[in-house]
Formats: sequence, C-alpha cells, structure tokens
Amino acid sequence: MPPRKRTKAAAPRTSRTAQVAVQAIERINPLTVDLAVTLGTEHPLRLERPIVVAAGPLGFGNEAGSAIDLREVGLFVVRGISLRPRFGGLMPRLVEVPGGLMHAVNRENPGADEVIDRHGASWRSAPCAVALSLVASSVKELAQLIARVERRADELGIAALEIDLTAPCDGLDGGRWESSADEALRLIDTARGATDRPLIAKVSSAASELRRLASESIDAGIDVLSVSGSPHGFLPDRARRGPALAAGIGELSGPLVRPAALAAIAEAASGAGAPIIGGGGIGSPADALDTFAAGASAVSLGTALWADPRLPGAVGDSLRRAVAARGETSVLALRGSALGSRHE
Amino acid sequence: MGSTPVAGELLAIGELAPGRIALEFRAPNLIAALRPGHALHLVRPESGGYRVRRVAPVSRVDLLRGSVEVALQPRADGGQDALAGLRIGEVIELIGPIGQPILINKATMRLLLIADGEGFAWVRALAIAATSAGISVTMLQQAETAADLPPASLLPDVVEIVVATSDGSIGHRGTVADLLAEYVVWADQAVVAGAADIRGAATSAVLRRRTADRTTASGKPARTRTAPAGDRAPWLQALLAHEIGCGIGACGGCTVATRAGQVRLCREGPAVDATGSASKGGA
Repeated sequence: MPPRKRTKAAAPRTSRTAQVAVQAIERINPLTVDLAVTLGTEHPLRLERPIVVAAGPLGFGNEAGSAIDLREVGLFVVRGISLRPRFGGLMPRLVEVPGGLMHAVNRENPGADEVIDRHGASWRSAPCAVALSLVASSVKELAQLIARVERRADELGIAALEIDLTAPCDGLDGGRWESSADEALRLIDTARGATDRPLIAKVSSAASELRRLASESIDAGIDVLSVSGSPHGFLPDRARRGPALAAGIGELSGPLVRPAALAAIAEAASGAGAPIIGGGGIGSPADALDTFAAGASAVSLGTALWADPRLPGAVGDSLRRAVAARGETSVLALRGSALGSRHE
Repeated sequence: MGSTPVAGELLAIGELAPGRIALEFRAPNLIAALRPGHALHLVRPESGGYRVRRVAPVSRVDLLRGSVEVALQPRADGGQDALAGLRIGEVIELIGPIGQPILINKATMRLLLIADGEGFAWVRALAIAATSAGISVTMLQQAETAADLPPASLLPDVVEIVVATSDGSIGHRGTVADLLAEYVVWADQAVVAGAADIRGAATSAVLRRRTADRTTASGKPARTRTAPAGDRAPWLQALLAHEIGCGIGACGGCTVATRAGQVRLCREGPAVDATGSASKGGA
C-alpha cells in the first residue's frame, strides 16, 4: 500500500467534552508525574520509584551497581540470605526452557554474617532503598535470622525485610511455606514480632489460598505482598535419561510464567489486603504496565535485567507517559485498571 | 551488564561437526581481548521478545578479518534457538569476554587436549594458539561414530589428532578413556572439555599418573615434583560449560564447588582444576 500523503488535515470533529479532555491530558507533562509510592500504612515503605529488583538475579549487592543504574530503581532486594550457609547444589543449575529459563540455585549463600560483611557497604551507599530477602526453614530459624540482621540493619540502611515464602519449610516436608496458608501466616506473625521494619512477604503464582493469604497476611503483620516468586518446573535432559537440572525440580522465570503471574496478582489484589509488588516474566515496559493493570502497586524485575540493563529506566519512562496519558499525576492511577468493578 | 555490549555482524555460518553450529561475527573492537577459554554472551530476542544472555565459547579469532567465531551450545530443552536462524549480515549484541583464559605454563611444550563433540569448540582456539606458540599439541577426540567428528581441517596441520569412536568406524573403537594412560605420561599439561564421563575419565587417568609418579622402584613415595616459578596452572584443567546466566557472577547459576572454594564459571571459569572440583559439574 502506498504511503498516505501527509496533508494539513482539518481538525477532527470532536465533541466539546472530548476536546476539553484532550486539552487536559495534554497539559500533563510526563516529567511531572510522581513515581514515588508508599506501600503499607502500619510500617510504610516509601519507594522513589515503583520498580523493584527481585531477589536473586543481581546478587547480594556488590555486583548490582555495575550491572544496572540503581538510581532508576526504587527497591533492590538482596539475594536470599539465611542464618547459616546454604549450598546451591550441583551443576547444571540454570537452563533455558521454552519461553524462559529454569533455575535451581537453592538460595545459595554464605550465611547472613558473611553476606553482611562482604556486601553491607554497597547497601549503605545504594541510591535506592534496599531490602534483605530472608530464607528460613523454620519459624525459630527466622526469628534468629531477624535478630541477627536487626543488630546491624540500621547501620546498613536496610529499608525492609522480605520473607521468602517460596523457600522450603521443614514442617511441610521441604514443601514451600506458601503451600500452606496457615504455616505462612505463622511465619509472618513471628517475623512481625521480631522487627518494626516494613515486612514484605514473597509468594509465587502457585501459592495455595492466595486470596486468603493476601487478606489475612496484613493482620498477621505484613506491609507488602510480593507476588513475584517463581513457580516450580521440571524438564528432562536432551537424552531423557534424567532431569535437565541437577536438582531435578527448578524454578521458572521468563515470559512463560507471566500470564499465571498476572492471574495471581489480580487474585491477590481482589483480596483487598496489602499492597502488591507484582512480578514474573516482566521483560518490557508494556509487561510492566500490564502488571500495574492487574493490580500491582509496584513491579518486580528479574532475569530480564541480564540482557536488558536499561529496563528499569525504560519502565520508569513508560509509567510516566502512561500516567500522563490518563491525565493523572500519580503512578497509582494505573493500579488495577484492568480489574474493572472487581477492584473498585 | 558487566562488559558493554558490542554490535556483531554475522559474517558466516558454519559447522564444527554435524549439527553443531558455529557463527562468525565481525567485531573488531572485541577480538583483541579474547583468549582461548573465553566465551561470549550472545543476546538476541527469542520469539515474544524475550532476551537471554546465551554462552557461546570462542572457537577461533581471526585478527585479519576482525572476526570471532563462536559455537552455539545445544540447549538443555533440545530447542532450536533464535540464534540458529540468524542470516548473514544480521547484527546482534555480543558481550564479553566472559570468564578467564585457560592457563598454560611457560614450561609446557607438550599439551594434551581431550574433547568430545560438545567440548571441541572450547579447546579449538587453544589448539590454534598453542601450536602458534610452538607447543606440540595432541588432541584426543571422542565421538559416537566417524560422522560425528569435527573435520580435521578445523585444527592446525601440526596438531596430532587421535580419534576414538564408539562404533569403531574410525580410529580406536571405544572411548578416549582407553587411550589416556599412554598420553598423560607424554604431556606436560592437559585440558579436557566435554561431558561428565570424559572429564571423569581424564581426571582418573591423571590421578593414576600422579600415584605412579610418586612411587619409586623401592616402593617408597618420591618427593612431589614442584612446578617452576611462574608455572602455576593445574596439570589438568577441565572446561565446564554453562548455558545462560547473568555474566557478572551475581546470580549463582554457574557456581561449582571445588576444593579451592566456589568457582563462578562466568567470572573465574570456565577452566577449573579438574582434580580439585567436587561436584557433578566438575570433572
């Protein structure tokens, strides 16, 4: 088809109301849009941008600043730490699968003390808020871990603590905390009793009783629910003589998890509980907008950052434009826009 | 992330062996830093726009053409990735070098390379560089059958190639494990690349050689030979492959445990002391 000749066409006919709306929208400069959000009320967590780096992909801290521009990020969540060192398992730990990747790093870390010693300085100097992701297999272990972290948290400028409910729980025979809402709520309750810092609970789209968890976790002491964890996956190796990952079961990331993640975010949002950090397969600004539309108040970026370190900045720009296009000035105007009356 | 991405124009598509694709990219600003053992990360959107950093071992550097040849590693899921569909002239992002070069001792004059079909790409550049430096190189190459072997023309003429095939269609019938005892006593240093079985065989052969070295005719252990100053490379290095990852040593996806501690393949690897690694991922 030949290109249409550009002419100075007459102004389209619009009603006066529509013209007024257009003028109002045009007056919003995207640069004036406020990206800052405050999540939670009891122990509010203020983020200059609603953009979170998920625990794991960028490590414990030292490497993150060289990987992406942390000024474009609201919250950097440090890779999971535990009271004692955890071994990550055998290779291969990370393989590609159709539509994404699968990993089994088993929350490997050298223990809270060593992580703090090695990386604490980078948290203090980070240009964004920093949260620690806490991995514990029992309620007692979490209480001890929080006590250990709290000793130095103020000095290191830790803004929040994330309770990883996708980690294995001894009481559930190694199953995830999120597989039992009762156990998950018990863990959250313990965490709340051990710290006054904002608490984030991380679940995946596979969490059981997600709506209940979303609505009751706020009473248990959670300030923010992060629906950004990785669901389980499995793939045989090429010869089909064993699993592709040495650990067998892995955790999925990438576009293949996105629809399920959006469904979980929407379900959690309808629970009218804690504000939600949404994540899972976000690889573009458009994906981030979808996540807001599903009910998230902030978005969590993960493995997409490996190949696209400019993604946080692009998401921020896109959010500003989207907010301005709606004639609004706060990014929270985007939250739940696709949920319709369910969310209102 | 890590190194700055460089635009790489695809100059040629080849095969290192049947079904094992090699891509030659023009990247003059990148090649000066590349050494045997290095890999590159190749970044190209998969369907749906998803982008990962795929590890591709550097199999040859051509300074005159300003190009680097890398090998596409097979995916664990058996899938055909978007890189295999690249056309000549297309440009993708290259990031590297990833990892550390393979260390070859100054005193090494006889280098033994041991590889299977997947490992060949990792040691080809080393064979080329070592022969250029006047080192005698012997390559023990393992394959299921003659048709699976890399063409001999991919290696310099002076490399001695010894082949073992499972069906005996060419060379020794069996595996290179059967030949190792003879060659480890010849070599000053060795490098193995490939699947766990070939790495395990090489490690066992080297450990047996050490035991023999340390036992004199009288049956008393001899004093352990020490390497001259400046020669610190392990006698047998295993090159461990990984598929994808962050490339900055942060994600933990390519970490292997060795006696010397944790090794992040994308930072301290891909070569590890084969007799010191302690996991399935090691040798």
